[in-house]
Amino acid sequence: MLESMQKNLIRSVVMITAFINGFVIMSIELLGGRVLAPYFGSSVYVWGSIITIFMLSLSLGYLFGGRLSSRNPNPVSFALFFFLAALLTLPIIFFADWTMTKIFVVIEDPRYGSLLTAMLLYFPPICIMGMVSPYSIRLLVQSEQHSGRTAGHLYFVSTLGSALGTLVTSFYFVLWFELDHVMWGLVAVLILCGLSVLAAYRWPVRQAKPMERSV
Amino acid sequence: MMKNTKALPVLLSAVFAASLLLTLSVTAQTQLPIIHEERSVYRNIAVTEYDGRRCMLFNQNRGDKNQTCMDLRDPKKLVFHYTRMSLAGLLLNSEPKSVLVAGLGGGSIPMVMTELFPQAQIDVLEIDSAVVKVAKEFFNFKESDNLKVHVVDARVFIKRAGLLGKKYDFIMLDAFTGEYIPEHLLTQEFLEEVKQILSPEGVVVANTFSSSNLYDHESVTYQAVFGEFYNFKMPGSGNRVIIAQHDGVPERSTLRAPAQQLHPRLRAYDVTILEYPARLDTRPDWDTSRRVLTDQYSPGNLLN
Repeated sequence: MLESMQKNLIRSVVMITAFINGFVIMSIELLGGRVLAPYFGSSVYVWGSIITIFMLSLSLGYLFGGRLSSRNPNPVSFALFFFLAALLTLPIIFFADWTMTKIFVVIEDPRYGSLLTAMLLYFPPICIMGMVSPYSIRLLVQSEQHSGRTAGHLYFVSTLGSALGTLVTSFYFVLWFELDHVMWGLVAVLILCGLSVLAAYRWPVRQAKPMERSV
Repeated sequence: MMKNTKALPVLLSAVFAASLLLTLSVTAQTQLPIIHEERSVYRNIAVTEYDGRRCMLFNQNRGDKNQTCMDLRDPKKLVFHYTRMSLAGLLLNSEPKSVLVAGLGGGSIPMVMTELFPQAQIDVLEIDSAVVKVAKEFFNFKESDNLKVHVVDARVFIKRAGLLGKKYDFIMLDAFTGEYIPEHLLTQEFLEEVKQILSPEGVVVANTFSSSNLYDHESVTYQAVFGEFYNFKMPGSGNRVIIAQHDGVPERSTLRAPAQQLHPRLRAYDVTILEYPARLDTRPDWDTSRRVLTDQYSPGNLLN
């Protein structure tokens, strides 16, 4: 009974964190256009750079995340992805202007300037966030037979999060908040995700032990 | 297969494809005779000709207004109010030696400037190379030794000009199409960069919005950077033109002499410069409690 409750809890938490992960990725991507615009403009190739780097980061993240998931998959590593992603998002808040000032002086062509900037600022956190998807599938899959179904569920949830992240950020966040405030919010949410994962795996264990003894 | 359906690119390409189809199908049905269509990465450009006028339109299927028009019988004449109004900047600096125009359109403003001041060095910034092509082919726009077009985002050019220590006597900001607002060209930081390349006696002329929330936000932002400025409106024009200098603007009464002096030269362009000084106003008619737009906060498209 308690075991199945824990399973359900873990399942829900992994799904919710995957949803939030998808949300955060697209929110950061959308704000990326605003981060880069003061230095490289808002021409079509600035968006080209951002989207390219996000796709590249995600693809490699999927690859690494998948590999890691085959070696001792555990919730602590999973939670670490979120903490690491939060940490690696901070340079976007603190060093974006410094980085772009340097790059702006050295690279005159805004296409390559924006590409390099996007690479430096966004590859690390987004690659880590890409690792979340395959790893969460591994945590949820119980049998080979259900693996496709679980993967489908997870893509559904995380891509839905991405859709919502895009919408809410572009329609409301930029109107309500300053750019860095949204970024801080996203960092906080990532940290909360990591903490929730840890809590979900720990919580029933403490309660379960006394009961086991009493049996 | 990993998660390869990230929303933005898919959304963008779908919207792009849909709008392309829509444009192709709708343009065939519009009543205006189209003499040329130019495809562009930013928007489709159509050139229409009717009633003795040739006009450049962006996304005309969505009912956008003309970007720029030329009177075919009198090509020198400035058809739009705001293009004529922007020459009011000359009242504050009547012999600019260097001119920067952000936003080409049909090129009427840079062409007038180079005719009026053949010795002046004029840089024109235009993000869309297709607009440059159409302006040259259909609107008599010509580059010369003193008149150069740069296909670049205005913010990028102006930031770099600042680093290089360039200065301009006359800066015209006209980069808004009315449909999509480049939000990074509305911010305090951008205007500071503009101010940095403005010569001590230079003048900034901005063709901006006269409607909605954005009017207030934009006015407050200009005020924060330039101090008091001239707010210039004309009856019959939906535009408002901001005229600003480094630290406020001179008394309106001092503008009568330059108006008299400019009048004979501007008459050919249908610019009634003698009327202008009386219409320049420094009194705020906007909500001064609005928030200044910054690179951190610039939701121009949502405020519009």
